[in-house]
Amino acid sequence: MNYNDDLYWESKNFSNIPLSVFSDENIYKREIEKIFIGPVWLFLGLEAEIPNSGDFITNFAGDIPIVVNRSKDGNIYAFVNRCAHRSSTVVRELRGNSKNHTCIYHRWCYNHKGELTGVPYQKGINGKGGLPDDFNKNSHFLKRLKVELYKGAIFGSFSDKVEPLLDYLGPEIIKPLDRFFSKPVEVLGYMRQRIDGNWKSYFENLTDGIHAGLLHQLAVKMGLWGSTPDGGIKLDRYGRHSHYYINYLKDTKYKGEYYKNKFALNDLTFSETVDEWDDDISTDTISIFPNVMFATVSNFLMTEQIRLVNPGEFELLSIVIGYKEDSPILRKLRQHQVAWLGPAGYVALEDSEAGSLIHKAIKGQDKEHSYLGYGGHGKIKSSDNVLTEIGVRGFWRYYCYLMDFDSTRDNLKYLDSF
Amino acid sequence: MKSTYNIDLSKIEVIRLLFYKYAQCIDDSNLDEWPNFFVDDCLYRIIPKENENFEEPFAILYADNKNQLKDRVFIIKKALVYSLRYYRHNITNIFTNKIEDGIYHVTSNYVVYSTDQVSGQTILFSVGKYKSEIILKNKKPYFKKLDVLVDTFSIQRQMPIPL
Repeated sequence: MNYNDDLYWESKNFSNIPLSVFSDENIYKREIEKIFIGPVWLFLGLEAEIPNSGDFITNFAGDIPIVVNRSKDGNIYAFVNRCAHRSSTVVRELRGNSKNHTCIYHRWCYNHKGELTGVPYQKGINGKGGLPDDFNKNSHFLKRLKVELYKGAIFGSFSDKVEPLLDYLGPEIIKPLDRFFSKPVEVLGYMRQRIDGNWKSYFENLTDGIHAGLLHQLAVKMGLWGSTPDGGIKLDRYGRHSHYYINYLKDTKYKGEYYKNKFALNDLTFSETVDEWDDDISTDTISIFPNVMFATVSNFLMTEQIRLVNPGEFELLSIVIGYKEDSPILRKLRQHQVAWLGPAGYVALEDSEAGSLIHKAIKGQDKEHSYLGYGGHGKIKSSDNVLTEIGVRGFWRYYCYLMDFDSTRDNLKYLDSF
Repeated sequence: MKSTYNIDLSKIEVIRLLFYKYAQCIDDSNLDEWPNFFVDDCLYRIIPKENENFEEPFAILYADNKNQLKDRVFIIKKALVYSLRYYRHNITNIFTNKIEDGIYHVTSNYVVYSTDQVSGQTILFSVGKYKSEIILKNKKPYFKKLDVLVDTFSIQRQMPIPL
């Protein structure tokens, strides 16, 4: 297919982003084809959501409806939620447990691996009707995704060409993921937001270190980080994923009381912290191209998956987790700390607003571009400070690599790693 | 425990007024008054429908005393960046299910519309149910517990302001 191959990407160093990528319908279709069903690993959920045989969740890979479930063999399988017969939705519940999956339209029945196990009227009735003699159930399976797990996270891919998951993640991402999954996890609940904006402006936000001290004034006032946050951004070897960490202000850890007078709050329970990891990190976000962030803010832990709706709309689905061994006190503290994240969270609600503000502003200006300058225009590499947009440039470079635009093919060589 | 039909109707009317005043307070952007609808050791939670079946339903907004409600109001006014909108509550089906130890267990339905302050456009923002425990102090009703059980569990943009 030939989608908008004339997109002109002026910037050789991915510091100028043409606005049409945020709104163009053809670009969106190309993203599904080149990225979401391309050689990437998509976050599909957590093992803790489906601990038992027959447990299933429905989800979206990009905007493609899928089912993820656990089979009797203990393994996890994922497939497109579309019947191989007449393309009807097979699994109609959000989550649950089921011995098999039967499409209600014509009762085609599939097992946990997505294999067709039963079709009605195969031989017809009394020799009349039915399917052709050469009908073979084995050639009518649900479309499967390849699945690999890391710790408790389930990743899937439609592509045979994708790297093994461990290579895809790389050591820069595996290290903080090990912190996130340092103990067996338990799902505490879900949070969702529908946002009028383009999914990529949200991914930009995840790897943008500058805005933390500027947009999120409460976090600064409460001492979660300073107005110039102390931390850094580590990128994987392609710059596509990022690990962004901020340290506590030196004098603030465990000293919520200190802020009572500074910012007249009555109850600072949500800003208290239990030292679970023996480090000084207050905020730790791991963004994995193209659809997930693993976030730890203080003691609040969640995954946040980006699900596409259309070029101007996306949904965030967060899974809030705790550790199985949590004391009741720690469990309660995690609930209190939702004050930071989610649709009513003091930090996260501002991020969702930022995405909408871009969406509103760019209408009718496809030939304009946005600018990424913090951290310079040079090599895309890890940074020992967060005052940089280098992770955002890394995202765009890998995006262009997969999208394979005529105008950026040569530019990829301009920077290292390719 | 009294049967619902034997309740003093004047008290039922007082409880109805509590819900209407509560809605008026938020809809008129009079948030400073909002915490005063609660007792000091209150519990206020906004719980998405998809979390209701968990043993301990996870709330996206959680406060277990009145001070935390006051803090949210303060933070909304002093620190937060969010899309500017007006809320409009319709509260119906206010029903006292039981009275036990002086606590009125009251449920009601709500519909909240949200109007963008810049574009003037209105959306149906949230539909759900209030599940509350109300006590009377000096004949005045207060929420001891207010759970907002949200049917619309995929939230449009964000939910900075309480429902």
